[in-house]
Amino acid sequence: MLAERLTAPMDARAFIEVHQTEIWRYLRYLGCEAAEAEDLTQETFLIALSGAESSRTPAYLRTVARNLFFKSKRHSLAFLADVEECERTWIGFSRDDGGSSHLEALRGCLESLEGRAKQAIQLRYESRLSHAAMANSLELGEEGVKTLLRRVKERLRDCVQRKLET
Amino acid sequence: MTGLEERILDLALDEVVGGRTPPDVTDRVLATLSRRPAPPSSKERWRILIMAAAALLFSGVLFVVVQQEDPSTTKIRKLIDNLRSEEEIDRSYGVFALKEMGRAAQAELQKATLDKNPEVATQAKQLLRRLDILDQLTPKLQKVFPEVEDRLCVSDETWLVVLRQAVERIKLSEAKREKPPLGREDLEILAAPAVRGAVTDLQKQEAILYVLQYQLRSATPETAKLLKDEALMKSLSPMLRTTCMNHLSELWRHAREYAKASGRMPKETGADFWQALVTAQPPILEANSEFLICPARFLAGPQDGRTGRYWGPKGDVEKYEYGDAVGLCDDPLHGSYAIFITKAADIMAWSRKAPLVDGAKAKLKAPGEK
Repeated sequence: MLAERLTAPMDARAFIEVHQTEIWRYLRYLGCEAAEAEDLTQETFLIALSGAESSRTPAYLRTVARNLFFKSKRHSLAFLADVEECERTWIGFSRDDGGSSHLEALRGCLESLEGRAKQAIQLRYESRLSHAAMANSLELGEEGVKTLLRRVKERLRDCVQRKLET
Repeated sequence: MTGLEERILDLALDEVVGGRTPPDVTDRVLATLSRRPAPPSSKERWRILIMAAAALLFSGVLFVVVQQEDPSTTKIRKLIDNLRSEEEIDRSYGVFALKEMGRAAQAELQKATLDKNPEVATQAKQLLRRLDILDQLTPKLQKVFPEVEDRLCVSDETWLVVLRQAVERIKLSEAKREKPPLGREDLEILAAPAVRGAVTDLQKQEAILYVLQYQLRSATPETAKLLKDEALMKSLSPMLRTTCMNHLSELWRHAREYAKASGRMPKETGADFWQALVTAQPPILEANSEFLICPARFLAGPQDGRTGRYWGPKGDVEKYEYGDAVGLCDDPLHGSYAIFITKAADIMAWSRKAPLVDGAKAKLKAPGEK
């Protein structure tokens, strides 16, 4: 159904439904908090739908979203300078589905985690604990927590890549 | 893992583990849109334009209307008014629409640069700068870096970033033995603002390196200003000296190619000896070859009659001993050093006061000397 929508000329509703997830994730990637990303996603579509129909592409949406983000921050010139690298990395993640296949692969990889690795990810991303609070729970030093997280993330990244390649 | 990759993984974990999932904004966007008057589509705009033109022609009053205000001016003013709106969406729409209008909006934007509202004035200046940049950009640059004008109009610093990326594209293609998507003429456009926008010493050195490497003459007025900075010049000196030595070395290698092709070394003396490599049939060197000029002088520009051309042999090189000097750079930009090359291709940098340098000069003729 999604594929049909992507190939057929879209009405405004279908257009938003197909692309909003990617734009929200993209804004989060640029550095927006969740609530800000939601506001800017909304504004992005308002601008895109006010413009020419021919410009309604994911790349255009990302450009609008990026401009809105930079204007809201007004200090991100350094980031702007690396915009191409930023785009390349994003396109590698989002593929044609706004990043959903990447997230699906990550779910599979998370199931393979055990022990401290699993606990560290849960404390960090589910309980949203700081490194210091995690250090208490895991009975490690703060540096130890950072190292543990880095290693787990590297494992997850490699696992996701393998899954996506297959 | 790069910073950007980590950022993506954090985002993904936040969503999968932390349950922070994307919202559905569809109804809110559609509700807001339904309250806003939609701007005319491009088809509608064309239809209006064609009908207006037809009506004007039919009534035969075109010359009278010309004296009245152009309807598009009103539209541009409204778009500029959007820039002072408190609503982000209105400001963004104004910017996008003014960009689409291109030069048609120039006159009104110029007036807007004097607007009392600093946001409007700044945005108008930026849009005008974007128009000027668009005029300068080559089609190749626009193709390789779509919408690069939006980045370039933000600040001077971004020019060096784009120049670096352009050089990387060229090098990547060369490494793959493919035709580079950009050439020297494309880099020329970027070079002067890139040098001007370089802030730190590292950025300045990087920009200077590109100017030298690709002989970007458009930037030499800017590099000349930079070389007046003694501290920067001091840090650049070793690199400039080495490059100058490479130039002399390359010139002598080409002179030997000349001898191989025509049976003997050029008969010319002084700087004309090296120039003979350009006028040879077929030419051994291109007329604009970087090797013909001292790199430090290329960057600093001609001064006090110094053009950066190299000293050449005073007499017939065929009769020179292998230890005799055949070329020399005596430019004061190299500080206390004089650089020379012998017939045996030994290249040396010695203190100007050294007797060895006097001995070398005795065998050579300065540029312009009769």
